[in-house]
Amino acid sequence: MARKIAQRLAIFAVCLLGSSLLVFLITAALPGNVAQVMLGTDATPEAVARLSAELGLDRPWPVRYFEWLGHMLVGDFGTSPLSHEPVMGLIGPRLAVTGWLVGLGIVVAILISLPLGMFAAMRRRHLSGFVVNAAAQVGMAIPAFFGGIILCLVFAVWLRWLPANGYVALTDDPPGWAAHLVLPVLTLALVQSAVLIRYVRNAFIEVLHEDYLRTARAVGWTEFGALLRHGVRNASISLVTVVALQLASAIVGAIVIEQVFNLPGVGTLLLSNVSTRDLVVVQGTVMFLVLAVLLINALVDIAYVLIDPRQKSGVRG
Amino acid sequence: MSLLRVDDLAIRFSKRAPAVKSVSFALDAGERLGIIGESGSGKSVTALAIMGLLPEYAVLEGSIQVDGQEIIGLSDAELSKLRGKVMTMVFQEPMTALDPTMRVGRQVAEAYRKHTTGAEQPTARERVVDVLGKVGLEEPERVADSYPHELSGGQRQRALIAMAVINEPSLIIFDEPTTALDVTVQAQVLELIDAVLAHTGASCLFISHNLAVVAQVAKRVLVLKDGEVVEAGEVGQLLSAPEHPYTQALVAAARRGGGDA
Repeated sequence: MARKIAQRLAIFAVCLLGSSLLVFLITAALPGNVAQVMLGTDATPEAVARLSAELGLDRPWPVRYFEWLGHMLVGDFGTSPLSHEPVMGLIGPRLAVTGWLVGLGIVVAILISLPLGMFAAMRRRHLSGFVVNAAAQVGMAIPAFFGGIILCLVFAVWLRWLPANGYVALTDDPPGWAAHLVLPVLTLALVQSAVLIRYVRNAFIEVLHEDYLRTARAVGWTEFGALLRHGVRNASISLVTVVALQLASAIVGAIVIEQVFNLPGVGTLLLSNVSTRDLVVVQGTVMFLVLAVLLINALVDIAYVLIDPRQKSGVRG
Repeated sequence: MSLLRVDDLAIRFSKRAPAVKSVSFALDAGERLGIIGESGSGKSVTALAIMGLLPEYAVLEGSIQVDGQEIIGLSDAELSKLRGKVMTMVFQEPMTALDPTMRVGRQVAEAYRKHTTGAEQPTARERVVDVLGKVGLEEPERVADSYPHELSGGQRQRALIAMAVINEPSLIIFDEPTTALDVTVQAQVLELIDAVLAHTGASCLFISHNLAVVAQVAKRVLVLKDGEVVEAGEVGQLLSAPEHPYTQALVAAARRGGGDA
C-alpha cells in the first residue's frame, strides 16, 4: 500500500511540473505586454522596451521559467508589477471565499445527487425514475452562469429573499455570510448535481445486480435496507473518483459563478488580472488552482486505496 | 402439517412466456427435497418465489405457504422478517455473494443481529466464530477478520452456509451450491450440507441440474422441465426406473460420471 501511495505522489509531482511549463508557455505566448499596459497606449516603443528590460521580460523564456519555478518551490508565487503586491498576498484573503463556495457547493451537490441518483436507479422502470434522470439531463445543458442569473432573478430580484451579490466574512457577520453564499453555492451545487445524479444512478444500477445484495436480502434485509447497507459502500468506490473530478470542475465553475454574484474570490482575481495583462498574477493564480486540483486528485486516489480493501493487497476478486 | 406447501404456482415476467407454468409440491419439517432440471426449467425462479426475492414486475399466481403463512402478496418488509429467520437461501456463486468491502465476520454477524434482540447482540462475535468453526472453517477467528477476496471459493461458500444457518431457520434452499466449486471442494461442501442439515434438523430444498449431486443430499426428487413438474419420486426409484424421457436422459448423464458438476 505504501508503494502505491508513493507511486501516486510521484505522478502528482510529474503532473505539477508538466502543468507549470504549460501554464508558463501559454501565458508567455499571450498577446499583450505588462510594460505596454503600465505605460499606456501612447507610450513610445523605446519606453516599453526599457521597462520590459527593467522587469526582466526581455530575457529568454527558459531563464524566466526556471526562475519562476524556483521561486514557487519556496512558496513565492511572484509579485505583481502593477500593484507591487505578492501574488500569495492577493490570493490569501480571496481563498476563503472560493474555498467556501467550492466546498459547500460540492457538499450540497452530494446531498442532492446521492438520494436522487439512488431513487432514479431503484425506480428506473417507473415514470418517477425517468423524470429524475430527464431533469438531470436538462440540468446538464444549463450553463452555470445562466443558472446563476435565473436564481438571482427569482430569489434576489423578484422575491427579495436573498442578496443578489457581494460577500461578507464569516467572522464579521455569520448570518450575512450565509445569506450571501446561499445563491452562489446553490448555483454551483445544482450544476454539479446534474452531472453527479447520472453517475450515482449508473453506479447504483450496477450495484443493484450484485449477488451480495441478494445474499443480504436472503438473510433478512429489505431491498432498500440491503442497498443502504451494502450498496452505498460499493457504489461509493466508483463515485469517489467521480466526485474528485467534479471537485476539480467545481473549482473552474466557481470562477464563473464568482463573476455572476460578484464574489471577491480567486476566480475574480484571475479574470481581473487577465484583463490588465498582469501575467505574474495570472501565472501565480492559475498555478495555485492547478496545484489545488492535482492535490485533490492525488488525495482521492490515496483515499480510494484506503476504502477498497482489495486495493491494499493488490488482489482483485 | 407441511413446512412448505407450493400449490399450482405460476410465474410470469411481464409479457414474456411464463417461467413457471404449474408447480405443486409439499415439504415436511426435516425433509430434504431435490429439484432437478436444466437451466430455464424454472427451478431457481421457484426458489426465489418462495424466498420472496423475485423482482416486483414478476406476476405470481397460486399459493406458497411457509409454516402455514401465505408468502405471495406479502410486502418486502414482512418478507424480510421471515428471510434469514424462518427460511434462507444459499446461492451458486460464492465468489460474488459476499460484500467485497466488508469483513466476513461482520457480514455473518449482521445476519445474526438482524433477527436477535439487543440483549444477545454483544455475544454476536462469539456466536459468529462458533458457527464459522462448525461449518468446518479452520482458524474461524482469522476467517472472521478476513475480507472475502482473502478466502478461497470453498471457504466463502462455507462462510455463506454459516450465514444461512446462524439463526437456525426451518427451511434452507440451496441453489446449485457446489456448481461453481472445484470437484474436490464440491464433495466436502456436500458433506458439510448433509452434516448441517442432520445437526439442525432443518428442511432443505436442494436445486441442481445434476442428479448425482442431488442424490447425495436429498431422498426425494422433483424433475422440472419448462416450468412444470414432469416426474417426482424417491431418488433410488428415479435412478433405477425413470419414466419420463427427460428423466431418463438425466439418469444417463448421472451414470456417465456425474456430468460437469
